[in-house]
Amino acid sequence: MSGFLESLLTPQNKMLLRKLRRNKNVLLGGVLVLIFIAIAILSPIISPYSPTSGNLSEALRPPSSNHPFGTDYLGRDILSRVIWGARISLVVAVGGIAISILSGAIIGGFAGYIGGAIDDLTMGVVNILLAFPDILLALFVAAVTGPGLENVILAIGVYNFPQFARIARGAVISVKTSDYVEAARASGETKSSIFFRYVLPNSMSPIVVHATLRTAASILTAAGLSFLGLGVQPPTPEWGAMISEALYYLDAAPYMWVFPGIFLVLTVLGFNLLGDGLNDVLNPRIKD
Amino acid sequence: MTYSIQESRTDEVLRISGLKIYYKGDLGLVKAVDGVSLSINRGSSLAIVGESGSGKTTLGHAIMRLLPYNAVIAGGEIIFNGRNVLSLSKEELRKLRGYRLTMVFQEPSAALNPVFKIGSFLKDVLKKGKGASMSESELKEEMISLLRKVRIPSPEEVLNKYPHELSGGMKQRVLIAAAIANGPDLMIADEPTSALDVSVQAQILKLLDELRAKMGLSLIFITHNLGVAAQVSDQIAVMYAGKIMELAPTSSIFETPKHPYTSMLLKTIPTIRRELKKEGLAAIPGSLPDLTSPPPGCRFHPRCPMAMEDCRKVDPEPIEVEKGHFVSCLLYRDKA
Amino acid sequence: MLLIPTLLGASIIIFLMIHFLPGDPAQILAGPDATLQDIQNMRIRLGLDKPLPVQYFLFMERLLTWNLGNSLVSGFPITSLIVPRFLNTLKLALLAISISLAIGIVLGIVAALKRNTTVDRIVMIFALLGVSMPVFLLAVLLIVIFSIKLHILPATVIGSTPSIRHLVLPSLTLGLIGAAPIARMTRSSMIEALSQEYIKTSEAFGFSIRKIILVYALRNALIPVVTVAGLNFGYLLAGAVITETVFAYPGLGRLIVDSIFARDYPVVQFGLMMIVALFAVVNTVVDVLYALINPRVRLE
Repeated sequence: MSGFLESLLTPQNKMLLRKLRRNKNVLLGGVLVLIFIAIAILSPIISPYSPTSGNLSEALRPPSSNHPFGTDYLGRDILSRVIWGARISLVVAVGGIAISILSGAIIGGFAGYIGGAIDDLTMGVVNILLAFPDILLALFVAAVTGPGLENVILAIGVYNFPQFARIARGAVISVKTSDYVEAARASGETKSSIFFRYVLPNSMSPIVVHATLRTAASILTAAGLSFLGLGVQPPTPEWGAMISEALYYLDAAPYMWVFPGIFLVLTVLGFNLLGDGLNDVLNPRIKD
Repeated sequence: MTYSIQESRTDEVLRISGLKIYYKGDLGLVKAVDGVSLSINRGSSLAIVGESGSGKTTLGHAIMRLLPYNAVIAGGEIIFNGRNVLSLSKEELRKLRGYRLTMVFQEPSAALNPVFKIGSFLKDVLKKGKGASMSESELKEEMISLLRKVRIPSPEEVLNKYPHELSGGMKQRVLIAAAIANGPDLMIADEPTSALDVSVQAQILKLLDELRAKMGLSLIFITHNLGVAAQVSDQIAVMYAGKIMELAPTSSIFETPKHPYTSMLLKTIPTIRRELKKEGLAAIPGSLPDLTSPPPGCRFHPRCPMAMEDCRKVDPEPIEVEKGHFVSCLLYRDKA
Repeated sequence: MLLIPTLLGASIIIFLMIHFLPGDPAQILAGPDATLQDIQNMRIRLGLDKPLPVQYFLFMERLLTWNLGNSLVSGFPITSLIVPRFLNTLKLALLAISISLAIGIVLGIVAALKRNTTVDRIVMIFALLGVSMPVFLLAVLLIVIFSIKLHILPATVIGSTPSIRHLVLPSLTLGLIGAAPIARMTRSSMIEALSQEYIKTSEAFGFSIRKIILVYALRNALIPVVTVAGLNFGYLLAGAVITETVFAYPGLGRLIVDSIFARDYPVVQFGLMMIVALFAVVNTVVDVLYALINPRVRLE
C-alpha cells in the first residue's frame, strides 16, 4: 500500500491492517484469491489459444510444451479453457453475491430496522427459503429459469439471499440498540439518516466476512449447476462443465478433469481461508 | 524453617516444606508460591488467607497437583499421609483424588458438569471409593444419606435434577457432598463461599465446620476474607506475594497479630463497631509486587508502614514468637 | 416448532414454480408442433385453466392424499416413481451422515487433544480441503482410484436397486465432504469444553483421563455438533443430487435432475417437496435431540 493511501487510514484501521497482514489465513487466502482474480481479469491476454475452438485432429493430447495442460476431446487447449474458466467463475460469483448482498442487506436490514409485522413477514420468507437445502435452492431457480450465464447468476443470487438477509437483520438489530444510535436518535436525526450514517456502516464487518465465505460456496454451487448441465452451457469454458465433459475420459485423459479440478479447489480454498482469517480478525472471539 | 503447629507429628495429615511453584509467563517466571512450609493435623482446619495474587489458590491446587500446564514445581515437598504427592504417578494420584484428598471449588455453577444429573455425578464419585461394590439401590441410599448430611431438602428429587435447576448454595452443597462421599482425610476448599449470597455463605461455613468435626476430616480453607476464615479455622496462615507472613491459632491472629500485614488485613474486615463509628474500611495502600521480580528482602516492605532499612535486604525467616505462633518479620528477629 | 408453516411456505413456492416459467408451460410441454387444441388440452391436463387458489388447493389435495398423478413424460404414477427413489436417497443419506459423524468426531477429538501440533494441523488442512472440495470432484477422484485403478468397487449403478457395494462410493463421497465441518466444529467445541471448570472438578475427583475426555467433555462438546450435523444433512441431501448423477445412483436427486431436463414439472415439484419435507423433519428431530442432550434447553 502506498504511503498516500496509508496516510488516509485512521489509527484504528492501521491496527486492523497490521492484524490482517499477520494472519496466516488472510495472507495465504488473499494470495490465492488475488491470483484467481488476476487470471480472470487477464484471461484474454494470457490464454494462449481460443477457449472455445479447437482442432479435432489434436483432440485428447496429453500435456506438452504446446499445450501445457493438454487438449480436450474437441482438441481445445485445456490451459486456455481453465484460464477463461476463472473469468466465468468470477463473473458468476461476484454477480450472484452482489445481487444477494444488495437485496439481502436492503431487505433484511430494513426489516430489522423497522421491526414489527414487516420483519416477521420477511423472516418468514427467509426461513422458507432456508428450508431448501443448499444447492437445491439454486437448482430450483435454474430449473425454473433454464440454463445460461445470466440465469446462473440469478440462481446464485437467490441462493445466497436468505443468508445475507438474516445476517444484515441481526447486525442491524444489534447496532440499532447501541448507545451511539440512541444518542443520534435523541439528537433528532431522521430514521433514514441514522440508517445510512450509522447502522449500515456498522453492519459491514459480518457482511464482509460472510460475503467472502459465501463466495467460496457460490463458486462450488455454480460449478455444481454447470456440472449437472443446468448452468453455463457449452462451449463456454466453465470448470464444473469441463469436469462433467471429462467423465467419459476419466482414465484416458485425466488432464481433462485434473487441471480444472485443481483450479477450482484452490480458488474455493482461497476464499475459505480468507473468510476464516477475516472472521478471526474482524470478529475476535475465544482464542485457543 | 518449617512451621510446626504441634510438637507431636504422629497425627499429621499434610506437611508442606519449602514448596516453590513458578509459572512460565511471557515476561519470565512468576514466583507464585516461593518457599512455603506448613503442616496440618488430622481433624483440624487451617485457613490460608491472602489477597488475590498472593499464591493461596496456587498453593491449594498444588496439594491436589491440579496445576495449569505452565506451572513449574521448582522445589519442596508435599507429604500427604506419609507420601510425597509431587512424586506420585498419575495413576496413584488419580486414586488419591476424590478419595483421600478432595476439593471444593469457588464457582459451584461452573464446577458442576451441566449435562449430567446430580445423581449421575455422585454415583461416579462413590464408585471410585466407598461405593465400588454397592448395588444400584445401595448406591442410591448412600447418595440420599450424603445429601442429607449436607442438609439438602428432598434429596431424592435433587438426585434427578440437573445443576442448572439448583441454586448456587444447593450446588455447593452437592459439591461438598461429593467431596465427603468417600470419607476423605483432607478437604481443600478454595473460596467456596465467595460466589454465594451472604446469607447462604454463613450456612455453608457452618456446614463445613460441622462436617469437619463430625467426620474427623482436616480442612484447608482458602479465602481472601479474614472474617470468613475466623468462622471455620483453628489456625490461620496469612500469605503475601507467595510467602507465609504469619501463621498462628485463629484467636491469636485476631487478638495478638504480630505481622504489620496481618494488622492491616484485620482493619479491612467490616464490623458493626466500625460502621457505627463511621471509621470506614481501611484499604491497604499500594499493590502486590510484580512476582516475576519480587522486591529484595521482605516482600511486603514497599507497602509496610513499619519498614526499616534492613527490610530491603534481609528476607525474614519465620520466628516462633509464642507457642504455635510464627511470624516472618524483622521486627521480631531479637526474639528468635 | 416451525415445521408446518415452513412446509406450507415451501409448498407455495414450489407450486408457483410452474407459473414462474418463462413463456407458457403448456405450450412448452405440448411441444413445437402442437396445435392450439393440443396446448389447450395440455393446459387442462396441468390444471392451468383454473384460478390460482383453486390450483394450489388441488396441488395440496394431491400431496396430502398422496395421489400425485402421473408423470407427463413416462405416464407412470408419480408415487411409484418417487417412493423407491426416495428410499434409495434416504439410505444413501443415512449412511453418509454416519460416515461424516464417525470420521468428523474422531478427527475433531484427536485434533483438539493434540492442539497446535502437526497432527492437529494435518487434520485441519484436510478439513479445510473437505470444505473447499466440490462433491463431483471428490466423486471423480474416488471413481478413478477405486473403480478404474484398483477395480474394487463399481462406479455406477445398473438397474434400480443398488446393492451395498454400489452404496460405498456415493456414501463415501458425501460422508467425507460432510466430515469436514463436523471435524472443525468438534475440535473447537472440544477445546472449549476441556477448558471448562467442570473438567477441573472431574480431575479433582480423580476420574480417568479416558472418562474425562470421552464422557464429561465430549457430552458437552457434542451439543453444537448436533446442530452442525443437522445442517450438514441438508447439505448432504443437496449434494446427493450431484452424487447420484455422477454414480448413476437411482435416487430422488437424480430423478429431479432428469425430470428438469425432461420438463416433467409435476415430478420435479413433488420430488423437491419430498426433499424439503425430509430436511424439515430432520431439522425438527435435531431440535428435539438438541434439547435432549442439552438439559438447559427445554422443549416448548
